[in-house]
Parts: sequence; structure tokens; C-alpha cells
Amino acid sequence: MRLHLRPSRRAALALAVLIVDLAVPVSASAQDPASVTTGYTPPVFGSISPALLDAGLASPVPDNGKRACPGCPPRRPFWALAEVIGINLLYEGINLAFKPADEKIYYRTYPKIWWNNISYGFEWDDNTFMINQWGHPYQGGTYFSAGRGNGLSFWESAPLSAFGALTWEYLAERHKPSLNDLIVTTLGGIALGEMFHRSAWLIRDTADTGKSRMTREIIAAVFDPITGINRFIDRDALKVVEKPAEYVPSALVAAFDVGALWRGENLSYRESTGEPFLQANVGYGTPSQGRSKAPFDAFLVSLRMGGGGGAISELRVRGRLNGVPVGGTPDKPARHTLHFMTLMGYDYDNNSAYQFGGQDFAAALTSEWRFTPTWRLVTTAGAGFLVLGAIDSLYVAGPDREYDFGPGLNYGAGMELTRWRHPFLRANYSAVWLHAVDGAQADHWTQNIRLDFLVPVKERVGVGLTGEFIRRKSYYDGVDDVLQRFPQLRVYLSWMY
Amino acid sequence: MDVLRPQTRLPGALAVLAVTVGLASAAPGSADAQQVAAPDRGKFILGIGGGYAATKTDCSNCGSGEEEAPGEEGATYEDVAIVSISPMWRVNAKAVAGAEVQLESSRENARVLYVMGTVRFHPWASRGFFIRAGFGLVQVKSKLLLPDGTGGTGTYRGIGFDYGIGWEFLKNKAISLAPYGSHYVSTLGSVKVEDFERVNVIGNVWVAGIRVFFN
Repeated sequence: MRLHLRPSRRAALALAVLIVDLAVPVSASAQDPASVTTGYTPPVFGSISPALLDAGLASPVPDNGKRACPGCPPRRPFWALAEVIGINLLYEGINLAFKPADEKIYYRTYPKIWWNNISYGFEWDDNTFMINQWGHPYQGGTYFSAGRGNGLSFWESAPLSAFGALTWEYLAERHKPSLNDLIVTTLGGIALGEMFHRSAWLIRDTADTGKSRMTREIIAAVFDPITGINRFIDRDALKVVEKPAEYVPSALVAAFDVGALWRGENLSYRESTGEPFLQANVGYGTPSQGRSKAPFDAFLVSLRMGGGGGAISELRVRGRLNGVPVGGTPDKPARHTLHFMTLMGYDYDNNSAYQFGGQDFAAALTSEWRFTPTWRLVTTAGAGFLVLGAIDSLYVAGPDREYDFGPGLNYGAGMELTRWRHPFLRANYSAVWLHAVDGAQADHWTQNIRLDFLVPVKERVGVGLTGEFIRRKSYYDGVDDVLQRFPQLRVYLSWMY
Repeated sequence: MDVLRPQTRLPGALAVLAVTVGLASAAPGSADAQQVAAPDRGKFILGIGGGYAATKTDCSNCGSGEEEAPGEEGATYEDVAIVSISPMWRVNAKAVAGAEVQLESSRENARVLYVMGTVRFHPWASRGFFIRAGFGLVQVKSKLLLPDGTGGTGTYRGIGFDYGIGWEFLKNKAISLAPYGSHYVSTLGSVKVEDFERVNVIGNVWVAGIRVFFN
């Protein structure tokens, strides 16, 4: 007898087989001989220092072989996967609870909607620039953190970001799955997730106790909520251990600026008014030095609020994926060093003049001259591939959206004279070429020349002046090309850490 | 409101894909798949594969559309065969990275070529299960009607990516076999085919295939 099933049921049955079968290696892996026989994994990063033990401060950490070090989170891949699903359920719940009544319908999904989404495939969406270029990467960052907060490495956590994005697109919305969301949530999420994860570890002091310890743990949880929640559930937030060495940067510089920004248009400042802004610049690790395979053991972040535009008007993250010295003798200090590195980047610009967002991979060659222990000259040249960028539309075409999507290239060069690792004088040129594949058909070429001058006034306080010139030329198919020029001036007071 | 769409072959394609990968991953008996210590097979891997693909091509102005399924009425569906070649390098015990060139058999009016960077990730180094993802260029050669009324061929390029899962049998042997399922998405921007300019063309391709790896 032949069994007849409708195509949809046949597919559902097949999917069920797939899901059940995928569970087989999952359960089997828990009995992997390697994991049974290996037992305790020697600490890789850090350990409880004798000083802490002598002082009676170090509390015993139950170590069942799942922790790479006493201060590290236990390694729980399946718990990480469950947390990604939990994060999606949480976002879904928030949407259902707080969205306007007429929008809630888009988040009420059930298996038929899921199947429709899966069988429909991907399209480009028309969400706002802020949602697509900041909201989704942040969401992706929480998926990624679920991996990092459960003891997975950077590369092991990266697929979780994609898994979270994919399940959200297929299962959580009635909107058809969005190609740009998948890419931006995954790649932006990895860059933002690792940056926030490491930033949160800067705040934690695992050797501290009492109220100050708790305050630090709570503030860190604001930066990286998933790891923070895990630490409270595991009571790691209360344990006195040495901080995992993985999260102790080789160097740390930061500057917090407050000032005013004037942005002109087409070489004129006539229409511009000074806009107040706050900016944080963080240099984690030493990007231009050392041999490294630990992603984001060195990264640069600049975050600007105000200055004309949204609450967050600029966020740039550049994290080193790996680095290798070029020439020289290992472990022998030299006045001049060359260094090659690969980078992963995230950009978000949303101001009154233009919008740009992107996720990229790049390579850079850095030369560093050490004149004195205080003064250094660092020059950098690099180029890379913009996996997906978004830039504001100058002509509206196609989707109901005010920006275009596309891949492209980026390149640039810079020179920086530093004093105690803080930039004293900096000159930089950067350019992006973006070929629109969704929106008005065009090639966009933006170039940026920037000059920073920061004079120390008293101890950690300095006065800064930044001049910037942004040139954008958009080459359209069938309509006139457009040239835009935005000069920009910033004056600010800087506090340097 | 439920999405009402014309019946397609997609459920069948996905069923084939799911059953192939599902049955493959259900096979626990292979001693090779459970070997813990992988012999050093060198760094270079050459993959050659083939399979079946269900394709869907759509664009913003291809049909009148509905609110929840814009353009769906104008989408075209075709079944094709694919062949691929992928030179890859072993990064570590869990990751393999390289390039992939995939060619489809001719669709009614077009032929599609993918040239992509690709990564294969084995969450468990000793097991055959893998996740794959790729990103790169897509080239579509399409027949079109020229202004003088004659026929011609236009070439369009865009970006594409794919993600999928599979299982590698005989993982540590010189020749291994990997059934896999993958979803390729490509986007071309605007394309003029015959006398109609299709805006924001996007293609979805669901592949069920098998690859032979020369390790």
C-alpha cells in the first residue's frame, strides 16, 4: 500500500526527521570518549594567585572540568543554544507586549507562518536605518554573548549569532525573512557582541568583594546582559578568583570628550549651528604589536552621542582577528616595528547630513617608530571588503526605504603621533566604495580626510580640535550623479584614562 | 492573514534535502565518524559535488503582490541540477575554509554561476556533522530582447551567500563523502530582461547535494 501525504505534510514530516536526527549527534557528543577521558582541563587562562589564597580571599570554585580557568565561565554549548532561543522568545514577548496593537499581528506566528517563511526565501526589508543598522547588530550581539558567556570561544560563538538571526527571521516574524537582517545581525552581532563582552570584563573585578564588587558586576551586566545573568545564576558574580587572563588587555587607553560640533554643507558653514556631543574612544590592547590569534584581543571603539543626529550618531568598532609582526627579532625590543593584521569592522553613522552603516573585513600594515618611551609615531595603511553596507538614498527607488544596500570595498591610510599612547596629532584618510544592489541603482564613493589635534592641558585633561572633510559622489544609472561635501569641525575637552 | 501562494515544488525539494541530511546524520555506526584522533591528512582539500536544487526568482515589481507576500505572484520556480568544485584548506581540527565555484544547469532563460568564499565548521572535531556558510559573487547570464528586436544575452553580477548543514562520512580517509543541504541567496539589483526592467532581483536556491572530498 502506498502512503499518500500532501506536500506540506510530507515536508513537515521530513523536517521532523531532520530535527530528531540532528539531536542524535548532540546527545552522542555528550558521551564523546574524548570528553569523558580527558577529565580536568588544565587552566588555559589565569589561575588563582597564591596571594589570594594566602589572604583567604579565594573561594573554592567547583570545577568539574568544564572551566578553562577558575574565573572562566563553565563550557556549556547546549545551554548557550538554549539561551539564544530564550533571547528570541524574550524579544518576541517584548514585541507582543509593547508594540502598538496594529503591529502585534506581525509577531503572532505559528507553524504555518514558519513554513511560509522558510519556503518563501529571503528578501530585502524596509525597516528604519536605526533598527537595521544598530538594533539588529545589538540583537546579534546578545546571541553571540550567549556563547561567550557559556565558555565558548569567539569562533564557536559566531555561528550562534547566525543561528539566532536565522531562527528570528524564519520563526519570530510574519515579515518575510530579510537578507540584510541576516547578514547585519550575524556580522554586526559578532563585532558588537565581542566588543561589549570584553568591555564588560574590563569593569568586573573578580578579586573584589562586597558592595563595590556587586556594583561592578551590575554595571558590567548592563554592557553584556547575557554573561551578566549567567554569572549571577552560577553565583560566579560572588566568587573571588583571579580575572581570566583572556580578558586582561595588554594595554588600555580611553578618552572621553565633551564639546561642540559644526557640520557644514557644500563647503559652507553658514547654515550650521554648534551641536553638543559626548564621545568615548577606547583602545583595548595593542593592535599594532605582537603575534596574536585571539580575535579582538585588541580593538578600537569610538562612540558619539549627539552632534546632530540620533542619540547615537556614530559607533565604530575595529577588532583585530589576528596579527603577526613583520621582520624583526621576536621578544627583542626594537625602535621600529612592522606589523600585519586582519580586522573585523562595524560602522554606524547616523547624523543630520548622511547615514552610513557597514560590516567589513580588512587587512592592515602598521609601522611603529618609538622615539622615546613617551612618544611614538604609528602609520597604517589598509584595505578591505565591505560585506554589506547601507547608505542614505539621494534618489528614492524600489523599496519603501530611505537608504540603499550593497557590498563594496574600503581603503585608507593614517598617521598618528602619540604621547603616552594617546593621540597628540593624527591625520587620516579613508574611503568606501559601495555598489548598491537594493535601492536606487548606483555606485557610491565616500572619502573622508580628518585631522585631530589634542593638547594636554593639565594631567589627564586636554583640549582637542578635529577638522574633517567628507566627500561623497554617487554615480547613478539613468539620472544625474550627485556630489556632496560636508566639512566638519569639533572642539572639545578631553579626559584621558 | 495567511499567505496564499501558488503551489510550488519547494516542499518536495526541502523534503528531499531534509531526509537526505537527516538520514545521513542518523547513521551512527560508522567507526570512522567516531574516531577521536584524526590522522594528519594535510591541509589541502578538493571538493567536487553535485545535486538537485529548487530555485525561486523574484523581484519588487514582478507581480502585483499582497501585503504579506509582495511580488509572490511574479516569482518563477524552476528545478535545476548543480555541480560544484571547492578547493579548501584545513584551518584547524574544526574549521575548513576556501573557495567554491558552483554552476547550475540552465534555467528557462538564465544560467547562474556562484564564486564564493566558503567555510565549513565541524562543532565536534571527531564527528562528521558540519555547518557551512559562504559569501561571494553571483553571475547570471540571461537571454534578453534587444531594442532592435533581436535576441541577445546579458550578463549580470551581484552578491550571494549560502548557509547549510551536512554530514561528512569517512572524515579521516583520503576520500570522504558529504551529503549536505544548503540555501543560496543571491541579489542582483535591477536587471533588464527582454523588455521589462526587474527591480531588486533576488534569487533563493535550496540545494540537496553530495560532495566528494579529496583530503
